[in-house]
Amino acid sequence: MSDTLLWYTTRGAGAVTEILLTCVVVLGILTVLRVQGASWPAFVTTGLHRNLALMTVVFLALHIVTAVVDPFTNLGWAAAFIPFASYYRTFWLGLGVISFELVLAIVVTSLVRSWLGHRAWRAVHWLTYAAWPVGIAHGLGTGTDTWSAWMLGISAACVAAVVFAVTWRLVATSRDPLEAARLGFRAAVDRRDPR
Amino acid sequence: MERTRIEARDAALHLLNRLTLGFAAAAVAGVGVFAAISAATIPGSASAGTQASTQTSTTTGSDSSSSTDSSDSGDSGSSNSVQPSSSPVGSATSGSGMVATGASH
Repeated sequence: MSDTLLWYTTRGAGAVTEILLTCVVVLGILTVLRVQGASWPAFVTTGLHRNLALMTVVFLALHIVTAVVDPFTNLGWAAAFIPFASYYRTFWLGLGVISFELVLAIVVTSLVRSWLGHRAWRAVHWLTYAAWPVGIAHGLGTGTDTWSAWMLGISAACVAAVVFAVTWRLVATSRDPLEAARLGFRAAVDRRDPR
Repeated sequence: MERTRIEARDAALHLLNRLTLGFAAAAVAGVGVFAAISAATIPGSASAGTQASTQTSTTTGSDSSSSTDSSDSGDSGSSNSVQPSSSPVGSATSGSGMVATGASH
């Protein structure tokens, strides 16, 4: 396979990975917000979130493998798994490795969630809020196409989508459908036993 | 009532499957599309080496490694071999090789 084809594939896969990871983050937030409708039950959001997360890992692996096997770069496999081990753009590439390993940890712990327990799973899952921006920073710092108009547009759209979703989550009131019932039950219990 | 709920759930499951397949197909196509676009914007061929170097040096001027690579790529435009340590990501190669600039990867 020609060097340039591997190089182009790395760049293309990197862009797709950024978009997919953004979709995963947004869907995760929509899951928490319990966004649903008549023809879109909550499990569709959750299921799509999981499926796209797995898809992200696949395209992230494609991005990494094509970059490492490209004979032109001489990166080596150590640079792909050990943060800041690369001689080339050490810091920005290291951020990419960190983001990759965070995503891997999040996905793996989600797959073994039933054995892990909810608290441990949730603690690791919060790392998504670190994995995404670190991955974006990696792309901005070391991407060949970072300052191309098309890639700038994609990055801007991804950042806008996550910022909007996070803002929505922060300002939204509880969407728990049983919240009113819980409050009513607690009030009734308090009335019967004021202690 | 129960049958309606079952049908609604089945419909939602079909929707989930279609969305997943759609995203997968779009992602695969996206790799090809973005690869083609990136090849068109920064092809990395020797003939476009000067343009890419200029673009790289102006857009990533704050990055010392890219400045170094830009000058190296210009000097070694006819070389087929990857230059060692002085240039972090090799150098420009002739023919279909890509220009080694700091922004290459």
